[in-house]
Amino acid sequence: MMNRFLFYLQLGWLDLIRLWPATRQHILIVTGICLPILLLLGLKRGHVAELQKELVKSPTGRQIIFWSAQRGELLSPNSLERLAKELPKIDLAIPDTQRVCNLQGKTKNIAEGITLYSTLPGDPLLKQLGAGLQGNEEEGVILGHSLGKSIGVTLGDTVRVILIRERNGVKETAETTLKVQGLVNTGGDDSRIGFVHASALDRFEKYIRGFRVPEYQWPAIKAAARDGYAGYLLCCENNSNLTPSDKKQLEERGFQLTEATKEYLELFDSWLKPEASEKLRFYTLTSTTGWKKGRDHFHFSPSEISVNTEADDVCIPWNPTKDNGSGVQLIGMTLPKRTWLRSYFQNPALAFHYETPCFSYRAPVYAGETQSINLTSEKSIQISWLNPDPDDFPAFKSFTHQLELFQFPTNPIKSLLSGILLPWAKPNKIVVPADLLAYLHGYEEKWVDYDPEINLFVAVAEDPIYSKIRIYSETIDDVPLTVEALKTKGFAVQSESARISEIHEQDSNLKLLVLITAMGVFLFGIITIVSVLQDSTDRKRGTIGILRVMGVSPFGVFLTVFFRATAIGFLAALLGVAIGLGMEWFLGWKPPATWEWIQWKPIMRVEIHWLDMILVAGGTMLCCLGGSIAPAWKASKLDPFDAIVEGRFR
Amino acid sequence: MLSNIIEEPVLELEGLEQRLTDPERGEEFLVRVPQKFVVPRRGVIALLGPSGCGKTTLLTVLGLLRAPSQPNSLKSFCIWTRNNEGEMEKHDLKKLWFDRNLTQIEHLRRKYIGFALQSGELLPSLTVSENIKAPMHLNGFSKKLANSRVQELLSSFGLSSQGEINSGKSTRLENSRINKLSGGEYQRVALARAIAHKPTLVFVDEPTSALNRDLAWEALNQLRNMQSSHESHGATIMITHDEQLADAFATTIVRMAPVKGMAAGEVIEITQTHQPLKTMDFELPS
Repeated sequence: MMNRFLFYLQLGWLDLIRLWPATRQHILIVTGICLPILLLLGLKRGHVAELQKELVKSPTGRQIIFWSAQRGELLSPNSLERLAKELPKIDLAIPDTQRVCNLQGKTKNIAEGITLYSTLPGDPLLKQLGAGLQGNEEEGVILGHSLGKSIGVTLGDTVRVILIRERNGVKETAETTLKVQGLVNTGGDDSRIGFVHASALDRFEKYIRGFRVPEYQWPAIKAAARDGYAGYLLCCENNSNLTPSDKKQLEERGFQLTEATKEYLELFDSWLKPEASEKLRFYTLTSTTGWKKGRDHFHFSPSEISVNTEADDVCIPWNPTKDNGSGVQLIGMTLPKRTWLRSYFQNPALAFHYETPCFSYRAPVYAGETQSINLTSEKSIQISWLNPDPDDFPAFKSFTHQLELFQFPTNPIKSLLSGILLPWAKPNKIVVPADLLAYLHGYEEKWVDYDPEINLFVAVAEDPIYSKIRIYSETIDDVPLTVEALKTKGFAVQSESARISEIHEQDSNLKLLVLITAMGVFLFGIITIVSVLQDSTDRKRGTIGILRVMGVSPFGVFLTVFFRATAIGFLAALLGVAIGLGMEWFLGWKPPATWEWIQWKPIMRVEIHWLDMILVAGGTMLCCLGGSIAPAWKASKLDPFDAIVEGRFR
Repeated sequence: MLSNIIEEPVLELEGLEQRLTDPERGEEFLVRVPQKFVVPRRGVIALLGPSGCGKTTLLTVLGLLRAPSQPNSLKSFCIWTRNNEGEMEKHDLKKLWFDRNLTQIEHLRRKYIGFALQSGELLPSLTVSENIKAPMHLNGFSKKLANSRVQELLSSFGLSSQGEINSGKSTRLENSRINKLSGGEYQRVALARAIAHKPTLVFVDEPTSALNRDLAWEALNQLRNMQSSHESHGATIMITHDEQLADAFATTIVRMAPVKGMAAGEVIEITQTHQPLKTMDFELPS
C-alpha cells in the first residue's frame, strides 16, 4: 500500500519535472495571476498608503482658519490656548498674524518692508516646505530663499530684526537678532517674507503698539498712559443746582447720581472758605454699580458732562483718595484754570489744572520739597512741590490778597520769615493731579506700569487680540468635526471641508471600484487556474486511462493529479513572490543621474509585506488545491478505456 | 468443444449481452457472446472479425475495464488465478460486478491482468525501465526483483543484446524517455510492460500494427514464450485482423461478426487451431 502511495507521488513528481514545458506553461499562467495581485497589495501598502498618508496629513486639507466675526469670542492667547484644548482632534493652533519690519544680514544692505508671519514648531505649512522652528525656537527665523540671498545669510547665520514705531512724529527703533533656522522656497524670486515664532511676533507687535517689552529690554514709547477715573464729582452752587432734567439726562447716560455734600465738605473742610458749607453741593457720578475699578474706567472729558447740564456745575474727574504709604492722604484734584469753584477755596491755586505736570503736589501747609509715594516695597516715585504760575490764574489777580494766595513757601526758613504758614505742621492730606491718582490706582489694579527709564506711568500691554487663527486638525477626516465645533461657538470658519467631502465621496467610489475589480481578478483568477488544471488534466486522459487500466485506483489518480497541481501552485507562488520582490526593488530604485537612458522610470514605493506574501502564496496554493480537486476528481472517475480510446461508444 | 479439452481454464464467460449507447447519436449497439467461452491456461486466443463488430468491447469486458451492462443475465463469468500458496483460486466476476465490488475488481485487474493496447499508451513522463517497472511497483515487487525482471524483459524483447549490455547501450535505452523510441521499440516496451508483473491474462489489441512483419512475429513469439511457457499459468487474448498471424500463434480463434438487420455483433465461431502449446520456434510463412 505504502509502495503504491509513494509510486503515485513519484508519478506526480516525474510528470512535473520531466514534462517541464507543460509544467512551465502552467506555472507561468498561475504566476501571471498571482503576481499582479501581490503587486497590487504591495502598491496598496506602499505607494497608495503614502498618498493616503499625504492626503490625510495634507496641510492645506487640514487647515482651518477662523475669526471672531459677530458672535465669536475675542481671540486672545488665553482663549486660543483654551480653544486648542476644547476643540476635538487639534494638532496645532497658530495665530494668523504678521508684522512688517526691516532685516539686516551679513551685508550692509538693510532689507526694508519684510513681512514676518507667525509660525510655531511643527507648522505643517513649513514642514511641507522642508523647514520648521527647532531648538531655541523663539529665537529662530525662517526666511524665503531669495530674501536670504539678498541679505547674504545662510542656515545658522543671524539676522538683525529692526522695528520702527512712531508717535507724534517721533520715530523710535528697536532691534533684536534671530538665528536663521530654515530657508524655504516661498514661490517667487521677489518674495520678501519670513516666519518667526508667534510669541516673538506678539512681542514685536507689543513694541509697535508702544508697550514695553521686557524680554528684549525694549522700553515703552515716551508717552504716559491714558488716565482713567472711577467716577466724577459734580459741584454746584445752591442757586444753580442740578435740575430734574439734568438728573434724568445723567441717569439716561448710565450714571448713578448721588448727593454727597456732607462727605465732600468734610473731605475739603479746612481748604474751603466758611461760606462754602452753605453754598455748595457735591454729587458723586458713578456707574450704576458704584466706583469703577480696573481697566474699565471712565475716560471721557469732564467738560462733556458739564456741557450737557442746565446747571452751572463743575465736573471733577474723580478717584477715591489714596494713602501714599506714609499716612498722607492723596487727593487727586484737577480743575479748569478758570472756574468759580476755585473762589470757594482758601487758596484758589490748591487744585491743579489740566496742564500741570503729573508728579506734583500741593498742600495748604508746607510739606517739604518732595514727597515719596511707595508703589511697592522696593519701588517708589517722587513728587515735587509745585508752585502755581500766577499767569495761570489771571482772574484772581484783581483780588487784593492775590499775592498771598500764590505765596506757597519753597523752604521752611522762608516760611518762618514770612509767618504765613506753619513750617512744622505736617499735612495729613495733600493734593495731587487727578491723573497721578488715576495712575496710582491703575498701578495697583495693574493696568498701568511705572517705567523709571522714562519716568512715566505707561500702559500695561493688554493681551493681543488676533484677527484670525489657523488651526490644523490631526487628519483631514477630523476637519468637519472641528469646523462644526467652531461654528457652534459662533466663529466664522474657512476650511476645505467641502473639498474633503468630495474627496471622501471619490475615495469611496474608488474603493468600490477597486473592490469590484479585485473580486473580478480573484474570481477569474480562480476560474483560470481551475481551467488551466482542467485542461492539463484533460490532456492527460490517455495517461490517466493507462494508469487506470494498469489498476491504479481512483485515489491514486486523484493523488497524482492533486500533487502535481499543488506543486504547480507552490512553484507559481515562489516565482510570483520572487518576481514581486524584484519588482519592489526595481520600482523603488532610483537610477543614478548619469544614466539618462533610464530616467523615464518612475520611482514608486511598493511594500511587499510578508503577510501579503503568505496571503498570495497561500491563496495560490489554495486556488491550485481547490482548483485541482474538480479535475482530479473527474480524472479519477474516468472510465479507463474511454480515457484511452476516446471511442465512439461510451 | 474447446471447454472439453481444456483442463485448467483461467477465464470463463457465457451469456454476455453487452449494450452500448451513443448518447450523441442516440444509437445502441449490442455485443453478444451466446456460447460458453473458455480461455485455457497457456492458451493464445485470437479475436478476429471486421471492424465495428464489438471485438474491443468484448476485450474491455473480459479485461475488467468495463462492467457488463446486465451482470445478472450472465450465465457465468469467472477467472482463475494462482494464490500465494500456488493453488488455483476462482473469482466469480459476475457476483463481483453485481455487487459493484470495484475495489476487488481493480485488485484483480492490477494483479492478474496485463494490457498492451493498440497505441501502446506508455507513460510519457517515465523512462523505458520505469514504464516496465510500473505494474511491478503497483503490485509490491521488490526493487531487486523489479530490476532483474526489467533486464529479462529488455533482453527477451530485443531491446538489448548481451553485447549492448556490455557496451552500455542497453543502459541508454532503458533510461530513455519513451518519446525517444522508435515505433517498434515503443510497441515492444508496451508488450514487456503488459507481462512484467506476470499476469494471468494478457490482452493485446492490434499488437503488431506499428511493427514490421519480422519484428511483429518475433515480439509475439516472445510474448507467447513468456506467457504460455510450461512454467506459466497465464493466457493471452489478442485482437487482430491478421489471419496468418492468428493461425501461427493462436490456440483458439474466436470469430466475431455483425448481426444482420441489427446494430449488434456477436461471437459466431470458436475454433481450436491445435497449435502445439509448447512450440517456441516458428517459421515465417512464405
